[in-house]
Amino acid sequence: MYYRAKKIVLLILLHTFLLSVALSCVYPLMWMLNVSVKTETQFRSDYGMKLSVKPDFNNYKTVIFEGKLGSYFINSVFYTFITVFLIVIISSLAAYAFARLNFRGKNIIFFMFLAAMMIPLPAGFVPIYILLNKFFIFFNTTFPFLQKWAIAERSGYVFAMTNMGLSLSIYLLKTFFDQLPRDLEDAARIDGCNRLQIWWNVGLPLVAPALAVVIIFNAMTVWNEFVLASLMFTEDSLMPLQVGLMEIYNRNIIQHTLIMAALALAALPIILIYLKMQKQIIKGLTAGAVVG
Amino acid sequence: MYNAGFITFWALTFQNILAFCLALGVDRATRTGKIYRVIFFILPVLSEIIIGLLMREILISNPGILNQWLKNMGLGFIANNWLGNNKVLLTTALVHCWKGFGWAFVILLAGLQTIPEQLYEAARIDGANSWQTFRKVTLPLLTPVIAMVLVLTILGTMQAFAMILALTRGAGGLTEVPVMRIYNHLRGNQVGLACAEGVVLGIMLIVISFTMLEVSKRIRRRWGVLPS
Repeated sequence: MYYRAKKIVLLILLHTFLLSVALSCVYPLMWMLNVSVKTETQFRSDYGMKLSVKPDFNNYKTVIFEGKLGSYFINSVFYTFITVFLIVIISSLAAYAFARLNFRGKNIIFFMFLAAMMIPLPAGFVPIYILLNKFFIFFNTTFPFLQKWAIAERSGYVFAMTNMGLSLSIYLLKTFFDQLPRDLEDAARIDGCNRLQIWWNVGLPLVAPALAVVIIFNAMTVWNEFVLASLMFTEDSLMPLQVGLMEIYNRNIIQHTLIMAALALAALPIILIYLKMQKQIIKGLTAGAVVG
Repeated sequence: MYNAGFITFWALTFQNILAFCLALGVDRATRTGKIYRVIFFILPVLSEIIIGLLMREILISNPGILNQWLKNMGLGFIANNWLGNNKVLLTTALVHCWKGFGWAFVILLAGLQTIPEQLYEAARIDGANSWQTFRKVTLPLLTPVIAMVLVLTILGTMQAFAMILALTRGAGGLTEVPVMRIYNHLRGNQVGLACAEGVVLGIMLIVISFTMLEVSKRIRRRWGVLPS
């Protein structure tokens, strides 16, 4: 009886501790949502402490259309999709080649990729920035008719982010390709597949778990990237979401409810996606971080 | 550099001890562990800018949301000018810990759950109390995981930048971390300087991570723990 009581008390204490920390995580987000549906005068009177009974979605409307949040969002989605697509294609092909093919200088090239993984981002982004500036000038003088759509800026940013994600993805995928049994590929070859068909029909489905890690980790990295984007993009129409949020903040520094609406709009999709597939995301992010 | 060191110190101690306690607690109360894991990992999933701006709105002295909350809870004496000159560095460090502890928590929890139950049972049969079990079973088996978390914390904190920029705007150099300095030099067209600083920082990070890996290997060898 004594032990039982002790255990229950211990459990209650544990849960209070855990719940209080959990509350500290969730409460600011709740507050953000609550404030974002208030008007500025309401916010001034109660500082968002009271639950808003009559939600007012004008802030959202203002932020999306006048604050250009919509275009920032679309930009971010665009960059993320293209980058992740490129990373998946290139890194899976490269990893397959490193794992299965024999060619001269294979080890040297692979070690170069590994060495690139060791270089942390702060040491890397200065040269990338300079290189990209050169690339813009070159591109815009060679193809002046493409300048209108800012192809150079967009593609330059996508290439830079792809490059940053590649080495880690290749390393991760190569370890998976190495473990695949060769018999499967032999069977496919007997059935008349060439190398590319083997990679597509046999290799990729079998490394799907690793691919999920690669996709999630890189998508989160690109989505949350701020430093390079804020250095490169000076025009509103090109900025991704993170830089755009800073812009919105700088423009509306006293309109707290507007800023909260912008933050809520930026945070909500991520939270929803996260809640929907939290298992994969936690696994993907930790695996990526541990390997890197 | 000093600022980054200060934040890293807080992250290493406060954040990781908090994460460790939470992981132990959740591991003890297994049945609801999943929910806690989901909640604690929300913050790392959100971007640094969102967290930074949100916390700036809450902490900034006018209107001072956090101070209002504290007053309402009867803790008015803690109320403070959180982003003022004296407090800004500490506040930044604490917000950084608040955002980052989910990482350490998830990794440590995964490490704890790989420890087989039989070892605990064996320890109990041998008459070990809970502190002895923790000291002789949990801690040695967790050493590699802890070392990894420490390396990740150091690397992550030394590179933290966007959150600090969003939260404090540099606060007149009071929260200037290495990456922010590189960024500002690059903005101010001092490319050579920025490049040199980037190289120095990169070398420093590589040296730190290699030393930490070596140290953790030594510890593992001395305590006779199997490499995992």
